[in-house]
This record gives sequence, structure tokens and C-alpha cells, in this order.
Amino acid sequence: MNDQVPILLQRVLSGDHAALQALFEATAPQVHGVVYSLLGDESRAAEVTKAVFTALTRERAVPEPFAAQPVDWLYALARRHAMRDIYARGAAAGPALPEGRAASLRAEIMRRRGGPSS
Amino acid sequence: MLAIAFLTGEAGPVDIAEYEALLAADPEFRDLVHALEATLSPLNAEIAPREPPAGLFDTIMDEIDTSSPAEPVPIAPVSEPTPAPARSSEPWRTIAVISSIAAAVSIGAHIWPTAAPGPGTLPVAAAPDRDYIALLADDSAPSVVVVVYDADSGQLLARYSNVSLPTDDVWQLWRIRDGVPAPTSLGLLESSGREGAAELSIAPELLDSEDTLAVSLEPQGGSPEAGPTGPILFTGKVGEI
Repeated sequence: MNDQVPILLQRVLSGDHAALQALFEATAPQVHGVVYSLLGDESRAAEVTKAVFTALTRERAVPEPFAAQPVDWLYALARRHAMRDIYARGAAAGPALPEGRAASLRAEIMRRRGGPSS
Repeated sequence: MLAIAFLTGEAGPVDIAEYEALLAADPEFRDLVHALEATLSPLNAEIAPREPPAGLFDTIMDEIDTSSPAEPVPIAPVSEPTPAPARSSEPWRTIAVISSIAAAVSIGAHIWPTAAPGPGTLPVAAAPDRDYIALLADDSAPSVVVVVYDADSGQLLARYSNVSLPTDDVWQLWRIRDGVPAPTSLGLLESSGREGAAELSIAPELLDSEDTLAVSLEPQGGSPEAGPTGPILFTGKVGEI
């Protein structure tokens, strides 16, 4: 199934909602895992996972940085939507990420990009 | 650093608003975000898969079936910047297509309006308790001014990118509202002199989600008349965050 994911993704992006179920079955556990790893709350993670796949049906193309591994874009969307959820509750919940998590993530970005970036 | 701050959970409310506005409207910023997100892809392999709740897919299909096509980013407020015609009778009324916006965060300069000067200044009313944002652009150069009203801080923040503040003249911010015959001055946009930021307060009660903002080029001290006398450089509609 995994080798079919890029094809399924392209079909969904072209408006073929019938392909969404197969794509969901192939990728939802990892999408949900990424979201849950950031939120730590099953109920909210489910809502965000839902938002990821819903938003995907409004997209039309895989961004160039993900051309080689299109499925990674799906997980990137999961991370972005999870961050939105974190920020949405941030005013009442304190820091958006646990202490040290932001620093380690920033360090990871810097390390992989080879230095400071925007 | 804005894109990184968002990803790492370090973005504040104004940063988030700017991030979403740029992501929705600026192809170059979107490319930057995608590139950053791609650098984190290897982390996904380290995350254990987790089965979503049973029935979740059905709720997705329900959502898709009942929703109409929408913008890819769920932020409603930024819309329809208008072009920059010079010295027409009502140039702020003209609607145009948003231009591309470049490198906003890499430049990341901040400007704040000074106290609203002279004729056309609006009487103070009750401050809104909601956040507003406007993305002001012209129809040619990849430049932009993002204006964000943060209800929590009670401040109106303007950030500009890919464009320099004039040295001989000044930028003046105007509010255009249906039913009000002339633009209302919101003040002059002036740099603080501190790199990347300035913190001048302005009466924040002047925005409404139906307003349009415009920036005109005016002589030092601001427009000598009740409305803009110089060319309109950037325009954009205000929206509620």
C-alpha cells in the first residue's frame, strides 16, 4: 500500500475524493501519531487529524520540497495543524510546547538546515 | 525566524497572525515554510503510529460533503488588497489583485503609527476586544505592510517588508469605511530607529472588520489636508482574526 500513497495523494489533490479513504487508511496512523505526539490529548488529536485530511482536499499540489517524498507533506500538514491547535489554546494553557521542546526543535531545524534561517 | 518560531511553539499572537497572513498570501513565504517543514520530515519516522478513533474517516467525509471549497489556510481576515493608483479622486476605492509578497520575515522590520495627526483624525471610541489584521499591498512590487491589532496588548502593529520607509516624505495610514465620506487618518508610520522594531502607541479603537486601510505618501508631518494628498501606496481590507 505504501508505494501507492503518492498516487493516492495525487488523486486526492486532483479532486478525487474517492481516493481519500485509501489514503486515509494508509497514512492516518502516522498522521494521528504526529498530531498526538504534539498534543498529548486523544480527543483533540482526533479533531486535528480530521482537520488535516479535510484541508488536504482543498490543496491542489504537493510543494516542491516534498516532491521526492510526498507523504512527508501530509505529516508536515499534521504538524502545522497541531501547532495551530496548540496556539489556539495557548492563551489559557501557558507555553505552547513543553519546556525544552521548542529549543530542541529549533536546534533540529538549524542542524538540518546548516545554520540560522528565517 | 517567524516560520521557525511558529514551528517551535515560540510565536506570539501577533507572530501567529502574521504567519497565517503571509502563508495565505505570500508564495515566497509559503515556499520558506514548506522548506522548513521538510527539514523536520525525518522526525516523523521517530514518532510511533497511532490509530485514530474509529469512525473518524466518516466524519471527514461528512465535513467534506457539507463544506464548500475554501481557502487552504483557515484565516479569514486577510483579503483583497487594492492597487496603488496615484492621486485619483478616490483611489482607495479601487479593487485589485494582491501582489506577491516577498521575504517578509527575513526583513522583519516593524513600524508603528505615531499619534494620528491633523485633519481627519477620528474621535476616540471604545476599543475593540477582538484582533484584526490587514494585509496591505500594491499591484506591482513584492512588498507588503501587515497591520495587526492585538486586543490583548491594545496595540496596533505594522510590519513592512521588501520596501523601505521614505526618507524625505512619510507614510500615513488611513482608514476607509463605508458610509464615511472621507478617509480617516490613523497616524504616520515611522520607524522607531531600533532595528526590527518600534513601539509607539496609537488609539486602537479605529478598526472594524469592514474597514479598508491605506497607506499614502505624504510630506513630512502628514497630509496637510483632511484626506490623502499623495499617492496611495498600499491598501488592504481589515478582517477579524
